[in-house]
Amino acid sequence: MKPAIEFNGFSYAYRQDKLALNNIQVSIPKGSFTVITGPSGAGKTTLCLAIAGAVPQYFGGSVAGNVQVNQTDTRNISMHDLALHVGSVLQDYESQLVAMTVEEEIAFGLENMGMAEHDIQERVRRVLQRVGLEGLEQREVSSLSGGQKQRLAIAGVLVLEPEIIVLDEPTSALDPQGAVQIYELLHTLNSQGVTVVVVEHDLSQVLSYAQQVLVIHEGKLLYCGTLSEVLPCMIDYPELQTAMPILWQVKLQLEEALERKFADWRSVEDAKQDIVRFIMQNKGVCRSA
Amino acid sequence: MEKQEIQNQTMQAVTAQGGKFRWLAITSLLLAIGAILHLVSPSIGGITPNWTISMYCIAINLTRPTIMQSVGIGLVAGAVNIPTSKAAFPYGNLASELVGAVTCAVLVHLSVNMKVKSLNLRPAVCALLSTLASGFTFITIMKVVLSLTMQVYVYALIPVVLGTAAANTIVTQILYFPAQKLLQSKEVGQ
Amino acid sequence: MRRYAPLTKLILTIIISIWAILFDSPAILAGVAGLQLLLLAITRVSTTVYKGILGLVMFALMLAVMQYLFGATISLALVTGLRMLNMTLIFIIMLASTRISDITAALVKQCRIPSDYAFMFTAALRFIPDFLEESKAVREAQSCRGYSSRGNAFKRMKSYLTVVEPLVLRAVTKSETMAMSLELRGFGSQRQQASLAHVALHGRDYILISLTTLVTLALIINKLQPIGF
Repeated sequence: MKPAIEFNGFSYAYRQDKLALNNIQVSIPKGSFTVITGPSGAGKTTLCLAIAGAVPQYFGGSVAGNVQVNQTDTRNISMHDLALHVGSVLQDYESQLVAMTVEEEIAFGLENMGMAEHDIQERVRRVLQRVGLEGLEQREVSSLSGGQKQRLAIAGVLVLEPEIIVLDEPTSALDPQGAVQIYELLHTLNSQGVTVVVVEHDLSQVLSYAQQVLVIHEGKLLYCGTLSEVLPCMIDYPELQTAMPILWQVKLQLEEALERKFADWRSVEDAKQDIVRFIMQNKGVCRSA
Repeated sequence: MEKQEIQNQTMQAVTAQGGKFRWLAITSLLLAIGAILHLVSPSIGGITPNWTISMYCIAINLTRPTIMQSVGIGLVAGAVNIPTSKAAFPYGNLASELVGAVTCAVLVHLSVNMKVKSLNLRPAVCALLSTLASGFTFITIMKVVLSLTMQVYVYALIPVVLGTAAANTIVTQILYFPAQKLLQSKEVGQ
Repeated sequence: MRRYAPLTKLILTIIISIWAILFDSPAILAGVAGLQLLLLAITRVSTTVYKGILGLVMFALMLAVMQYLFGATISLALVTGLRMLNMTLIFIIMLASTRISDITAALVKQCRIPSDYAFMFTAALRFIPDFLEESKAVREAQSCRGYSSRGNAFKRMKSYLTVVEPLVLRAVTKSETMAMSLELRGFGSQRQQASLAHVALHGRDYILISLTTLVTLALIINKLQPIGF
């Protein structure tokens, strides 16, 4: 299967002196749920902006290599045309919301395409249902809660029906409950076929969803793989500790102490079952002894 | 095209094409700030700066829009205060902010050195003259339309315009530089 | 008034303003103001609108008193206050009975205002509540750090600027995301303000506009060449 996004030896510097991204070589499969993580200032946001074409088109700077979205070089297509394939929810998503009401906010992108009023209404209705904001059409944007604003920002890009959506730390300003709901929404979208790329500094949020994890460190791609491939490697980097889910810190330490491998723990429930199984086995061993 | 070797890679310089909407975004947000300060700002020694004028002076100095764009900025500045602060005289507002914004834009594009040593005084000059232009436009329209007496005009309204202009000169000059520094750091990257 | 198109109400703001200038009798001006209040009453608006009007009446009163104190006759003072009230009431009626987005749609579609400025207007209004929240937060933080609003005027101005500066910087920071997202969302390419249906003129609009325009013309002619009505 052809990849949705491909970085080919991509390097980028905002200014001449310092590389924000250094020789990134990675491909993100179609339909995947990919998580980008790493310490702050590592280049995660720049990576998102590169997928959206804003790097280098909007900011300028120096580039080597290229980024391809659906086999098209992001530099050969306007940011807006690219946005029809890649929906971007930027880190400061509140500034992305520019209309007075929920309905107008979602219609904004469609109006810019010159779509007919009737089609706009139909699409707005559909997307509101998809993100769980139905019934709030007339609400003022500034009266929404943080989680609702995030949903609205997602709806605003989703309404253009892109195959890929990229979100930069979507839950950093939300309470834990709101964060869980946003990831459930992203999971649903992903299962409907949308390729999801999300920057998240706390991997415990995405344990049950992430299919591919990219670890960025000082502009370089440190690791790329599944959670179970990547997490054990991350333990060697003190600055990556904060991204490690506590569950996995426990798991890795247990594995080391017990000299035994557990399955992938994607939730506390997984861990419980695994540990219970382990204890039962050992009980069996004790009895037979 | 400039080329440079970094770690065996050939880096290619790309010119920024973004920023086409920067003036629009900055002006919108600063006008929002102007409107809320207009609502909540306390009067200081009987004088309140006109925050709306101060904010569009900062926006125009930061983004250097054309004169035509400034006509629009002025009209929007006047319009924003109509629903938010129950402006006492809406058409007067529209006309006076138009004059104020255009005055500011003309001063921004004027190639006259407004530096004293290394200190750029252009924001202060813009704020002073824009506030005077806008203020006098407003009170003169008010005088004619509402048939105010010469005494009211001279003793009650002119002093307010002068005081506001003085306050605006100071706050605009002080607020401009941190904003400009921040914007510059954004434009060259993060 | 809700049934009338936004453009009709925009035109009315001009017409009423012209009337306010043309009339110089306190009785007639008071009549027009009464008519506007009646219009407002049948439009059925929220009580906050009436509170706003109360503020305006106070301001009009203040203006009239000032006129009187500076030597105008009572009649002239009343004219001043009532003119101001009339010119502003019509805006309040318009704003209370029309959605902002319909007003901007009318301005873009029917008055050919470039959509850049309609956007600027809407975006500014959209961010006012957000910044209001932030300004409260900043003020609380500053007062915790011991900034006070006492002292002479200059000191107070300086301490107030410590509240304003972070807000201005927030605006600049946010503007970058906003500008980028405008680019991403294809703003300005072939922008089509939707909801033309809401803003189109109907028969009643044409009737109201023609009637009020005729009255205005008659008033102007009467002003130039008094024929005594």
